[in-house]
Amino acid sequence: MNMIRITPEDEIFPEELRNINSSPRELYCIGNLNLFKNRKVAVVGSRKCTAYGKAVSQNLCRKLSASGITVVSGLARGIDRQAHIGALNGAGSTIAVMATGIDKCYPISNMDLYNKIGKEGLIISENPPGYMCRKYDFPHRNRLISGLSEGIVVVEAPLRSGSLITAEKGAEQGRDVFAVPGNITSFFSMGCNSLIRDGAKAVSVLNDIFRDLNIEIPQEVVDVKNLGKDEKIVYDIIERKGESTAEYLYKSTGFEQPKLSGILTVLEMKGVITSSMGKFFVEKI
Amino acid sequence: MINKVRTAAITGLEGTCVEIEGLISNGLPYFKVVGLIDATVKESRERVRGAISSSGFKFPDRKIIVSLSPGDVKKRGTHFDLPLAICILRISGQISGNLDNLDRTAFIGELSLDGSVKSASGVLAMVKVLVEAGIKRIVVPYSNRIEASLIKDAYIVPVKTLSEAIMFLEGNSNTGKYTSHISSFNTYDHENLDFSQVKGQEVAKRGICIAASGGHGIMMMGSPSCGKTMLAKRIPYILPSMAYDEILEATMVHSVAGLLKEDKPIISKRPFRRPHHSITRAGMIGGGLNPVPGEISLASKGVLFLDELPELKRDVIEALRLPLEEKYVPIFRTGRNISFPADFLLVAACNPCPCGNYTDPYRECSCSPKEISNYMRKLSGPIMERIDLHIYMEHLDYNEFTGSAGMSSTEMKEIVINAREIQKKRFRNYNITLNSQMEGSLIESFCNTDSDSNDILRIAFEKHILTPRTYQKALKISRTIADMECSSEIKSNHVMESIQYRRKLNEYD
Repeated sequence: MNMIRITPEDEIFPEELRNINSSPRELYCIGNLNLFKNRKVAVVGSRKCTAYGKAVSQNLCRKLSASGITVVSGLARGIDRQAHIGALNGAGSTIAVMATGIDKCYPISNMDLYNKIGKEGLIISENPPGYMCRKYDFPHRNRLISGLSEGIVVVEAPLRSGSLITAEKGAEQGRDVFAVPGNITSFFSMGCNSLIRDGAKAVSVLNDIFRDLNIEIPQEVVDVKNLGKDEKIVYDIIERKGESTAEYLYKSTGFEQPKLSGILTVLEMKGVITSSMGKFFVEKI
Repeated sequence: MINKVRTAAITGLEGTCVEIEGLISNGLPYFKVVGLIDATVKESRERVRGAISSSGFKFPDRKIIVSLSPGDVKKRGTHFDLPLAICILRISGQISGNLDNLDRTAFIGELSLDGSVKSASGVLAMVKVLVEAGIKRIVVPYSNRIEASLIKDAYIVPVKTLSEAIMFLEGNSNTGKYTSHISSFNTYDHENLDFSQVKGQEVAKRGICIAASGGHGIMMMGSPSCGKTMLAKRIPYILPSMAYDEILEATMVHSVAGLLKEDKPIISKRPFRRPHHSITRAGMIGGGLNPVPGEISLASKGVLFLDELPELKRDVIEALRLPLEEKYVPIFRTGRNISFPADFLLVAACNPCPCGNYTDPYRECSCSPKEISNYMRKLSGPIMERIDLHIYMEHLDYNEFTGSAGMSSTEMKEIVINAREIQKKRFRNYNITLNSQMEGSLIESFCNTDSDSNDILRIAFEKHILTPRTYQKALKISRTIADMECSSEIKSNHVMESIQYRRKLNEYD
């Protein structure tokens, strides 16, 4: 992986970062520099999080990336990790803004992501290789995450969380701040909920973010090329009807009982449908 | 003068031969029965006195002691009336003729004050034990003649009155051996239930067919009026016809419970029991001071349908655990253990929520999430481990309701019989007959999956579609589906179908 050093004199240096307070004097980058030109949204949250936070983070970023939006996050554990994972496969891809030196992955458990983002996305840091990172570098780095993005989504954050600093910096920089609400009793969502009280935009459904930032809402399509002919027939019926019982599918397809059950199992294993209480749904959030 | 008359006593389903001895002596008129007798036998003194007088005999005005032996077996029931009366008439010398064969004859029957012989419960079990003890000539009430004749070696003499019994003893009667033909009782059923009458629930019918083939417990979940009960009622008709041993056992249980009727003298059709969900523990598994069989024993060899399963009391559900595993139910009383058979096919049904409309697309559910989760919580624990198949149903559109009929009972029964034959052959050395009874090592040795189906199972497991518990159930069901198609190896399509019958979790689980 080639490391590139850019300064504000370079044309590729992101426009957004020229105008913020304490603008970086240099950036070390690994990966696809063209991602700077994309529209960018930051998705951040705490390292310790719930299954709910993980799911929201990943699904939101998958959608954002599918619409060509680049997801900016901090390559930390928890919400950040899920955000990068969700965004990696889409067109928008992802930018990881690190506090450590550009050559050092922290936490080490995210090494897989570091390598992948280096290839398919973009890793940046204002610190040179071999830089000894200190505690205060992390909140300082957060101004870059918010600065790069037009909107900041805080997915899950307890009351004293670095994500709140990102949100605060974002507000100072005039970016839109969104917070995903959680249970008012949940330790993990108290920071988010207090952000909403202080004026952040509450995300009632994921599409709120798309609407507020004027992003076209993506129509997620399952890759139907991977489905066989009969599987496609069954899948289409379920998709059209929204939900469907086995009995209804039996009637509409005319397939033999055992065959239909087999197809449903395959679709479930491929992850394109789910079932609950005897009904089948198309897998999407 | 001491003379012996033979009869039998019954505890649970077990009979015991009983000898009645009488002693008549001079003294003030006195009639006493001894030998660990129950209130029902104490009262028989008065019935015997009345019946003897009204049959044209004289009740002796002397001191009479009658003893029932063995003296340590509890004697209960009204069927001691007839042998007691015979004993008294014998010792008072009112029966003439050669009485050599009295020792090889047993008597069972309740007497009415006018001298007629009324039916008794448990006759079949008593005839069985008497014949086993070598007493083959048995006088039984006329209305019990058919169940009694199920025992092949028995010489059954049905009588309607006390006088008839005496005439038979004296050799003056043309009452002879009674023989019945079981086959002639196979037609008493007038209901005419067939699966072809159930329209538009083909998925559920397929599930039921698999359950019946492998003896798997099945759970039907669906909103009210979608046809759960209708389907369940038809299940006995696709099970194989009852073998002689099964008829004998089922009839015995019903006989002891006193449930045989004139129009249903033996149980030759698979029982279908449908206890209401307010049933008590004793009602379900049997019990009482003198234990009587409960619903699960009455359903033995047939179908036990538990509608509204989550509404059953927790202790009732809990009590089903052992019988479901062992196929019998032990009942412990001080000093004796009684066991009743409990070899039934479990068919359960429930609504998706207390109001029933949770999964219904058109009707609004009025339950709170908490109510639903409480309802669902009752569907966990031991009983769910014994239910292999889960099917989900919804009520039908008008078009489906009026549509053409699908599989009929005849087609289904044929599949079931073939599949059960294969299983019987496979398990001939293992003391089980059905796939549902396989455990641990047997599953490993008989559920031989090919490489494709192994892959499917592995992927399903990795994708959290199957859990360790549902994995085993899926294997067993695959085995049954393969048997239904006469395939010795479990193929991928069998496995894929079986995965659809797992319990599908929902957010309130």
